[in-house]
This record gives sequence, structure tokens and C-alpha cells, in this order.
Amino acid sequence: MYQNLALLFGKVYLVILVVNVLLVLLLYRRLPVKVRSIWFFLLGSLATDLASRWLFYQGENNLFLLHIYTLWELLAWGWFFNLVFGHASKAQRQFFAGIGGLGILLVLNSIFLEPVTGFNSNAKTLVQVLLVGFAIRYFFLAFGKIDLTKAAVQAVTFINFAVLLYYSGTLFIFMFSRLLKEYGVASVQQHGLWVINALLLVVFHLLIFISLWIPLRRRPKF
Amino acid sequence: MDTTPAQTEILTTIFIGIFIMLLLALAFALFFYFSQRKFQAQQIAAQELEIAHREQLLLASIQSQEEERQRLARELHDEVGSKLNVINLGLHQLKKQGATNEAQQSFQDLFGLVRMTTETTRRIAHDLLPPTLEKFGLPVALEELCDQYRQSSPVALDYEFSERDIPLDALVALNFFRVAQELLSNAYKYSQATAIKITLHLKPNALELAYQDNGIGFDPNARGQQKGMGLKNIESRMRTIQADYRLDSTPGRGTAFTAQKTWS
Repeated sequence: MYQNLALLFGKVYLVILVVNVLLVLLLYRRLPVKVRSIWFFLLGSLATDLASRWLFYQGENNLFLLHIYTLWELLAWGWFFNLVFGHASKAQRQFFAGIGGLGILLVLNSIFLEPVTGFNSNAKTLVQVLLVGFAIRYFFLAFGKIDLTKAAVQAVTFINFAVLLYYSGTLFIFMFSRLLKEYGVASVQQHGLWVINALLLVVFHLLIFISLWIPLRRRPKF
Repeated sequence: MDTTPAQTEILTTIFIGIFIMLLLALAFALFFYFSQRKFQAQQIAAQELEIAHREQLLLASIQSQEEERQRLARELHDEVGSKLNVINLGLHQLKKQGATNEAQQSFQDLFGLVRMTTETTRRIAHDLLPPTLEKFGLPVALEELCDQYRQSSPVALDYEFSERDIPLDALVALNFFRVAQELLSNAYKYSQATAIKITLHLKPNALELAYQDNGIGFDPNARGQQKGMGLKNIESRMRTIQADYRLDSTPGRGTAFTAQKTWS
């Protein structure tokens, strides 16, 4: 039952993801700069998802994609948050240096600590904690300074909420995914966790869809 | 498939972890949302208070300006005007008592000067508070105002009113007059209009003043462009007498203004 549910949510997630990718690419110019910067993340997510499904149906190990996707997530969200925080040039250099350094750590982790044929719990945990931290920082910085009646601000806040919710909710799943394998927990018993992950992915991409829709619905007046 | 206690423990930990993290994330987002809304509401309330305060200051300033105008007009008419008359009479007395030819010429100069000063005083007093408004009412006062503009400019100024005797509260009449004065002054200064039309129409339970010109117009909602004092004054005056008003203007398409004071 859990497996079917996970597959169902997985399909729903894929549909919403495709819609989001189409929205962001086709209506790119009508979206605010900060909001449209997530095209990079969305396109990577779609490519990874399609590739992992294809490999799954081929009966091949697709976990190496998770390693690539983790790095992609870090870079894509790094770009988004750099725009959201509106860093000055010096801070921007430091921010990108930090993201780049972390990216190198992820690669080294995949080479030496967590082989690409298995889960990358260390890397995933690090990236997720960082993204949750960025989302929280956004909320702290935004408090009292933003006007939630503005479409662009609403959209960015929704994206941050999506990041906070999804990466907090799935933190423990990815943190313990390698451990579950090491402890010999059967994949059937893990289905419940992947259902939660798929459900949160649906919610995550629904929130992203809303954040793309808000500025499109209310066009700025010129 | 059976699970070992260690496996159960790790699965339970993960589920509890997920639950707590989701709860924290939701609580954080909700706290942010409601706090932000409250903060924004407080900011809006403070801004509204500030606007109301400025409005009150403007109203008080308009009121004191009107009082000062009235006082000055009275002083000019009663004090300066009457004293100039006394001077004029005195000069006539002196002239009658006989004088040399040279003195006769000086008397003529002085008569001219007194006449000019009397005229100027009357005009200033009139501009400060047109006696026509008080004596003959708003329709005639506006007609007089339009006549003054017609004499000084080639702009085709058309003025129509539906009734000559409109029973009006003095404050309403004064503010309608001042608004028309302001609109005409702005039109002649900035609009480059070649035709202006003003109508004063008495409805069964309302008085309507309509203004229209074919000038260069302006964008009343233009960002970064502060409303001029004239426009603010018009708005404040309309609010003072609780009249409805509407200003329509588009660059290149002239300006239209309508004010309506209703009564039960």
C-alpha cells in the first residue's frame, strides 16, 4: 500500500514539476528576477527525476544521481538565496566562495566517504541544514521590512516557506537513509518514509507553483 | 517481515524527527506570517495617524489663512479705506482754502495718489475676500472671477450656472469659490489650455461644480511626483465641507474636476 502511495505521489509530483518548468521557461520574462532564478533548480530536478525513473525501469542503480542532484541543489539554491539576500559585491564573493567550498566538500565526500552507489547522508544533511538555515535567515531579515501585499514579495516568501517545509521535513529521512541500509532495514519497511518524502515533494512543488502563479496573476502596472 | 528493536528504534526516531521538524517549520512560518501582519497593521495605523495629523494641520492652516484674509480685508476696507477718504476730504478742504499755482499742481498729484491708493486697497481687499460672494452669492462671484480672467487672457473661458440664487452655507460657498479660484489659477499658470469650461449646477439635493480644460494635463498618480500644494488645498477644502470630488487628468488630454456637495 505504501509503495503504491509513494508511486502515486511521485507521479503527481512529476506533473506539478513539469507544469512549473513550463511556467518558468515560457513566462520567464513576466516573472520577477528572484522568482525566475529557480528555473535552474527546477530544470535540474526534472532532468534528475526523469533520469532516475529511466534507470529504475532499466533495473540500474540510480543513487549516483542523488549525489549529482545534491550538488545541483546546493548551487541552484545558492544562486537563488544570493539574489534574495541582495548581497553587496564583497559579501557576494564570500557567499559564492562558501558555496563553492561546500560543493568541493560534497565531491570529496562522494569520492572518499560515501560512494556514489549508495546514499549520501552526510552531504544531503549538510545541504539541507544549510538551506533550512538560509530560509530562516530570510524570514529574520524580512521581518518588518517586506510588504506582503506585493506579488513579488509574496512569491519569494512562498518559495522560502516551501524550502523551509520540505528540507526540514525530509531532513531526518536523508540523514538516516544510509544508516537504515547499514542497519539492514528492509526497503518495504522504509516505504512509509518515502511516502512522506513524496508527499512533501508534492507540497513543495505546489508551493513553488503558487509562487510562480502569484506574479503572473497580478501583473505589475506600468 | 519482523524488525529488530534497533531497527524499530531508528524508524521511530526518524518519524518523530520528521514530525518535530515539520511542526517547527510550520510554527515558525505561521509565527512569521502573523507577526508580520500585525507589524504591518501597526505600521499602516501609524501612517494613517500621521496622514490624519498632517491633514488636520493643513485644515487648520487653511482655516487660519481664511480668517487672516477676512481680517486683512476688513482692516483694509474699514481702516485704510476710510482713512484714505478722510485724507481725500482734508486735501479738498485745503485746496478750497486757496493755494498758489505750484501748490495746486501738488494737490492734483496728491489727489491722483490717493485715488490710486484707494483703488489698490479696494482691489487687494476684494482679492482677499470678494464682497460679491457675501453680497450676491457663489454663482455671481464665480461670474465675476471668470470676467477678471477673461479680461487678462485670450483663453476661451465659458461659465454657466443653473440658478442665480442658491441658498448656501457661507463656508461651502467660500470653499467652492476658492477651489474654482485655485483651478483657474493652475490652468492659467501651467495647463496651456485654450478653452476652459466651468459649470455650477444646482440639483434637487446637491450642488455640483464642474471644471474642464483642454490643456496639457498631468498624471495625478505619477510616482515620485508629489502633489502640489494647490491640489492638496483643493482636497483639504473639499474634505472640510464633506464634499465629494473627482479629479481626472491624463498627460495631453486636459483636466476635469467635479465637486459635489449633497444635503438631505
